[in-house]
Amino acid sequence: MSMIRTENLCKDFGSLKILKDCTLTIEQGEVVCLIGPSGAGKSTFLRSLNYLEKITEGKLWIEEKLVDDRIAGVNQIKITQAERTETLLEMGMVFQRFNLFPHLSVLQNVMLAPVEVKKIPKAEAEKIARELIIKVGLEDKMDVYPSKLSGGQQQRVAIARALAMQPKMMLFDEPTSALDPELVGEVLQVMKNLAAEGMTMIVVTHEMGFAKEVADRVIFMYDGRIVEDAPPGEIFQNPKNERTKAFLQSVLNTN
Amino acid sequence: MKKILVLLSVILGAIAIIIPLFFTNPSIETYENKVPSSFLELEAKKESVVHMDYKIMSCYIATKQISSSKAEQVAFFGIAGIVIGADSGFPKFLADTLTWLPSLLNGAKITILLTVASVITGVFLSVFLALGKMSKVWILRKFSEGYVFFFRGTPLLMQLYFVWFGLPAIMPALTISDRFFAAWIAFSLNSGAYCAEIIRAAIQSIDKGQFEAAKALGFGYGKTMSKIIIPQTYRRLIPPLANEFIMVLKDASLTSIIALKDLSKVTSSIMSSTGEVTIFLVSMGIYLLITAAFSKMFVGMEKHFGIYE
Repeated sequence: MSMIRTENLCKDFGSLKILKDCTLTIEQGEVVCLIGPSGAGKSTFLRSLNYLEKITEGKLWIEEKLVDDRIAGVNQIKITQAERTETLLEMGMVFQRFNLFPHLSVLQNVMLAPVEVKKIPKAEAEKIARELIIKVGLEDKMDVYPSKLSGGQQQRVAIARALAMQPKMMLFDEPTSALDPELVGEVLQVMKNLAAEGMTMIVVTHEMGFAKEVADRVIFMYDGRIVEDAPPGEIFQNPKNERTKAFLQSVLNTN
Repeated sequence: MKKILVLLSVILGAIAIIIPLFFTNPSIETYENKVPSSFLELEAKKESVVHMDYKIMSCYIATKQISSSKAEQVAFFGIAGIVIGADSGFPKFLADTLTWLPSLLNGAKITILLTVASVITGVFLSVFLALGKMSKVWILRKFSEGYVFFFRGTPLLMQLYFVWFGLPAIMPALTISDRFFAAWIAFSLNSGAYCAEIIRAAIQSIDKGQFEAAKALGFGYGKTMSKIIIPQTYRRLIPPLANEFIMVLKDASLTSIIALKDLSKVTSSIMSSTGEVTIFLVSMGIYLLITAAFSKMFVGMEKHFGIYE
């Protein structure tokens, strides 16, 4: 079953075209890495899957259900707020800047959405939250405020917070870009574990090592288009497109 | 250095309060015995005696009105069992202050009540106005903008006049018979407009990522605001709200135009009946004490709400 399918997804900011006819299918359990130079539209593409950006043209299916079908920015299908929220909850999102709620402790951060949005009883939500925080290795930070955590720890809390809603897929928007180099590893480790559990993941990343090791497919985007879509072995050893070649050369050389 | 000075003044203050406690206060008889015979023999149309006893300090002032323009007065001030003649100078100031204190404190009570009630109502009102101003709904946005425009753009004094004198004239059903209630309405409406801007600015200063995180977790608008955004504004709200509070506290003196007996009104009526200008010093001292106490409270609140930072 395809988890996400897009057809000719386009996104304009005024006359600026950010996404151009992006067509992509992601199957259940796949780990897909989106790579490409900055300004290629990777983040915008990821965010438009999650309604954080409104697409201008194209179709979007989540779990084979058509949820967005736009022509010139106007949705052609009727979808209620409740349905929209429901599809939204199938996807967990992790941001570059973590975006933890600074006024809540780690435990409260993870518990808040299950209690307020999913209406799970507090005791049960707390149990799930504690398990997830232990899973990301922060059992000694339950009652600490985010400001007291390192970037890597904050990002792990953010992953736990997204997982607390029990999503079927996870979207990562450059999860390690804002981190000090020595903190990247701990976050990637959590993501690897998640991938090993069979979670469907879409990761916008500059970590080529991670893409090589964990991804089932690597997608190269350039100038708003999906240029190349291949397994990591193929794309890293034998890129077909000139743009991909140039990009990989510059990235792998600096690494 | 500052700490030493504070400590010193606290110790001196404590001594000034504690030492007199060990002495018996001069009784009213002690004072009456002190009144010179020349004063007692005075032919008077009207006489009044004030004796204030505050346990630590006390005073006794006897006034004889001889004619409509002529009065004779004897005054004493007592502290630590000693009675001092208070006909002039600093002792007179102390004795006067003690006499005025009850009415001044009553006035201060009204001033504080009016300020606290108005700011609380104003903040409550302003949350809706601020959300209205940021709303996507045209009518809500325009209403909030119009409201803020009107109440910030016209003098509070005029608004107070309007609530007290204007409304009953336009529609007798809107007559407000209680002065305090009328002042409370005018001040709340006015404060709401100012607080709305404060709250809007605080909400808009919250990082956009917070809204995105909330949206990605499935929060609707109401829950995003009430559970995530507004709690984060508390700490940022306190300093400008403290400012607004102190402004309202001082603006409360405007209520003297509808004859509400607030601290300023009490002060000016004592001043006009006794002619003692020193009362302004006492009154300003009380204002300073009130603002100092509330400032301290606001600093505490800021710390409390900023605990996560």
